[in-house]
Amino acid sequence: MPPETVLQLRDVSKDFATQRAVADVSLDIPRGAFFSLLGPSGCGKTTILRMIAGFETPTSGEVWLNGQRIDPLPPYQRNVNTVFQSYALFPHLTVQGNVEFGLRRNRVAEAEKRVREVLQQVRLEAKASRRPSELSGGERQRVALARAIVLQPDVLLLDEPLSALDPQLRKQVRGELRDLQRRVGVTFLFVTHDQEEALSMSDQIAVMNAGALEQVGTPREVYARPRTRFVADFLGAMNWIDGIGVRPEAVSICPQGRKAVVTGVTYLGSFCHVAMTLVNGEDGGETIHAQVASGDAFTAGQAVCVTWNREDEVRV
Amino acid sequence: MRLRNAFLAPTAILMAVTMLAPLAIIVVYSLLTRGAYGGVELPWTLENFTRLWDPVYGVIFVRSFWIAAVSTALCLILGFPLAMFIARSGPRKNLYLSLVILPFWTSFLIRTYAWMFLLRDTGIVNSALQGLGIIREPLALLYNDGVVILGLVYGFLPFMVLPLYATLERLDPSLLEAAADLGARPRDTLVRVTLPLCAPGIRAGAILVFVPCLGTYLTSDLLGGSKTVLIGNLVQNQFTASRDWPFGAALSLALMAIAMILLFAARRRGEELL
Repeated sequence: MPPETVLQLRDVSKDFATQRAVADVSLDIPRGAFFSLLGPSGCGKTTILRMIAGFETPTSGEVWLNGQRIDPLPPYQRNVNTVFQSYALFPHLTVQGNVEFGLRRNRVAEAEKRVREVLQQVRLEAKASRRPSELSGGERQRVALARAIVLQPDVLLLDEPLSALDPQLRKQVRGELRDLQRRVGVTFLFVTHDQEEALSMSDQIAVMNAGALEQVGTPREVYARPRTRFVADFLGAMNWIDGIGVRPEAVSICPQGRKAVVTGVTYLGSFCHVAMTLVNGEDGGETIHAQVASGDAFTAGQAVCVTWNREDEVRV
Repeated sequence: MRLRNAFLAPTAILMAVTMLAPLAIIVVYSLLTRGAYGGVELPWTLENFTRLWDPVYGVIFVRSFWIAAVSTALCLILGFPLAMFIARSGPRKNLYLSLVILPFWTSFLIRTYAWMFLLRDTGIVNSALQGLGIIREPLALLYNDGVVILGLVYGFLPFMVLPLYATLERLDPSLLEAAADLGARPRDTLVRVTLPLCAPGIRAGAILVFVPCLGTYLTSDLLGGSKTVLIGNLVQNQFTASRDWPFGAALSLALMAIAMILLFAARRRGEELL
């Protein structure tokens, strides 16, 4: 296991009674990275997280943390911590009590100092004596974060931690989470089904489908150079023309190019979504979507031409 | 609103007639003089209450509280693991719950007699032990405090298990995972998460077991005999052999008062009883 790798999965599989949830997944998580596991619900990403945390045992394969094999260890002996999707805050304890929970073995003065520091980092010093039921959703999420990072885990596991927040807050928290990760330097393993979240926050993304890894790479790589059709489709809209993929934002509507007829226009504020049908040649009848500036006016039934750059084409 | 009142009325009337009326009669009787052949006579008196301070009765009160407390504690110790087991046994839950309730299908009296047949000198336990040559003389299994506690724990265990099960079943399993995730061993998780979150169920179960144990007379009469007189037996005696109804009424009022004070003390601030 190379020193720059903090967490490694070796051919990990997990079978449940009726199905194979995870199939031969091997992964290297670089130390200090913001690493996302991205996939649709039921693709096995949460099962992977639970195997790393110790709540599930792999059917086969190994999990290594910092050069030590951890898959046979119980959760309380692994130096990884989890931010649960529902946060799982202890309702009978205050914010302070929740954050202190894992610090039992530390000296009191040291524990108090660390709790104070971490509450400051998540801006909850003023609410230390509140109960979880007295906090907003965003505050609860920050308590869940504080409770985990105060233990300085080798890897912090985050199970869709933004899904319980309302959409407005979610975008703001993305930035905060990213900043926090940079500041504390802890490796984040972030599970999400939201491609925008994964693209905007991650150093690396592993895309999963049906229990297997589809592709691992930087956000740019998986978006612009998807290796499978699933990755191409999951990370954003994609036109498929003759087996070649073109993103709608790469398609431009201009005087010359392939002939098409506009079938629908959706105004989306900062841009417009234009649906068209190609009319001539062997491509006849195929639908193509373009994303254009909202100032350009198109109407249904209008004859247009579409084109795109060769380097924007995706071949899988 | 009127519909609600219409449906509430029968219950309200039933409660008034079956609870308040007898209670009023007990209060009135406790202030009267005993009749020569049972019943009550004038004049009004407080003597029945001053007699309560006789140490003879104090000993019986203390013993009753002690036996009820030990029985409640044993029910909790035995009931908690059972409740947790049932709460975690998935689709089998309902089967196990019906097994817990199964004894209620037979009269408590008959079940207590069954214990007598098991434990008396010529009972199954003693016969078996003698037959195996382990003992020569039968063991005195009946007629002591221990066997009364056994009978009470046996009888009231379901009243502890059911409320404990109800709270444990609602306990969010991700809280237990979170505790383990934060480094707590199973024992720490039990003490620091499970038990505190089950406090309402523990309180409810303790009250449901303690109160009937405190007033029991059947179990102590049949299994404890004349050696283990509890408040319940004392009250019963006043209305039968002793023919002292006013004192019996005063005794039961004293028992009720003490039980209510204890319940009030067990209630946490801002929390409803049960």
